[in-house]
Amino acid sequence: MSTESHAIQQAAADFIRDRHLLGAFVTGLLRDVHAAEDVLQEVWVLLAAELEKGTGIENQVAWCRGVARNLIRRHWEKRQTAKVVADSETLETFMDRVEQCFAWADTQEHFATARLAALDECVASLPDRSRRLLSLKYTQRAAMDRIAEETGQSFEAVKKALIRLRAALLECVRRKLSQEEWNT
Amino acid sequence: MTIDELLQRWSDGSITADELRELTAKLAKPEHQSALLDDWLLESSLPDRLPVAAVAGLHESAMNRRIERIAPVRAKQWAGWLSWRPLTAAAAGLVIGLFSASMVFAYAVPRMRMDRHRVVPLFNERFEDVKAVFGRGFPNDADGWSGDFDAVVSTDGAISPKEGQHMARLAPIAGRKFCAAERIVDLAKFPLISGTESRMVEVTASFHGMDSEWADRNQIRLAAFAEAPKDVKAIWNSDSRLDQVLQHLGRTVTVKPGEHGWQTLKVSMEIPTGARSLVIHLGAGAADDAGPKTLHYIDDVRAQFVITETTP
Repeated sequence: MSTESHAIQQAAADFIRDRHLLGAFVTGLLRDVHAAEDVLQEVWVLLAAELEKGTGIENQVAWCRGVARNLIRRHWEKRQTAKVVADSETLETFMDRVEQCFAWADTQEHFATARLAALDECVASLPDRSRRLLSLKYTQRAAMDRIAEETGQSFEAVKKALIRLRAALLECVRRKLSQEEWNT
Repeated sequence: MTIDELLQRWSDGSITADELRELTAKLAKPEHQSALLDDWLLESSLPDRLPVAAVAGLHESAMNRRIERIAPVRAKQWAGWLSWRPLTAAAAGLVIGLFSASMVFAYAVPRMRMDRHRVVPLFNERFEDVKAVFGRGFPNDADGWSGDFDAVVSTDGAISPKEGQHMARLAPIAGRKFCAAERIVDLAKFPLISGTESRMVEVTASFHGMDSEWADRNQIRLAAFAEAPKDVKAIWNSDSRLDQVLQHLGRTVTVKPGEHGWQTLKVSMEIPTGARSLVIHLGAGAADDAGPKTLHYIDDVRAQFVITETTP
């Protein structure tokens, strides 16, 4: 196997390891899962190209976040109607702070995996009806009015139910993590 | 406004510039940083944590869309790395997606087969970092090598690295027949996507002895435990608790006196359901108890999961 493919395989393994937090960073800043997928894909392509050139990358996840941030900035600049672009300095400061949050998370062992394990348990404990509602929004990406039609509820009722469900899941994850800390 | 309200307003796009400034200011506090991280991790991860059956069609369409976009650009470089499902069997590329949960490396799946395979690399160690610090004895936790490491060296006498510029030299310790190099893999970091998946781990390692007049033995042992990585050492070092192992497998090969060069071993083992930690143990030493305890070298150690998804 060539040196190049060794480096790329190692980078791929690291990318897999870091994908949850990197995905959260990109999705959170873009608020659009499809655009986030494009950015993640682009980050990987750029990383692979750098490795092929023989560039040494010391902190891969930070490098990927930096590249992602540039792509996200470009994404927002193209959408001049977005409110956040009205004040790009504010957005830059916000992104700085967000990047610091994620850099801190990098230093925490099992930060993402512990939360995802807790999330799995929390999702499993939901009633079928709630899981279906979440599936419609998060996996089928159905529009709110379509979900309302599908579930026989009003638009407002669906909106409130989803906000409540999301808050309940966050609370459940936090509770499980604090229990785990207590047990250890 | 609370941090949750501000995050909600950011998320639904209704946040104003003033509110964004307020949110930024709040993020100076650690508890608010955690709130943002938890919120965004939930948002990006939920699609993968919800029932797979409800989203199968979307998974595939998202995958295929990615491949179609990337394939023309990367096909040449990535040929052989990936192709996915008959529809895109000719395409080669790398799929990374929020929907896909992991990257997929692998090969074309014949049209009529019901199983799909993907390969997830775990590590590829060529011991090129001369400043690497190794643990002594059995590892205390996941990741990183531990064992009887003496040094990372380039050419050592007549022995040259198997790959790259360096290799690891192992030195036997008193009272032990074999010198060892070990690491633990935390399987929780590599969750399976669905209940229809199973996985094998494949480990390949290359060994080199001192070319003495004595026969050598090289071995790879794999063991899966239900316990967390930091709890495995106590089990591994206790004969009475070793029956806690869920699955184990070893392969030992003897190198006859006078045989030279690198010897490469490969071992595969199925990871049983419920396994949390995987131990990878490499051992090398004189085959004969009366033989000298000499230096041994290891290089080009690779590990990967082969994940099989059985479709009903």
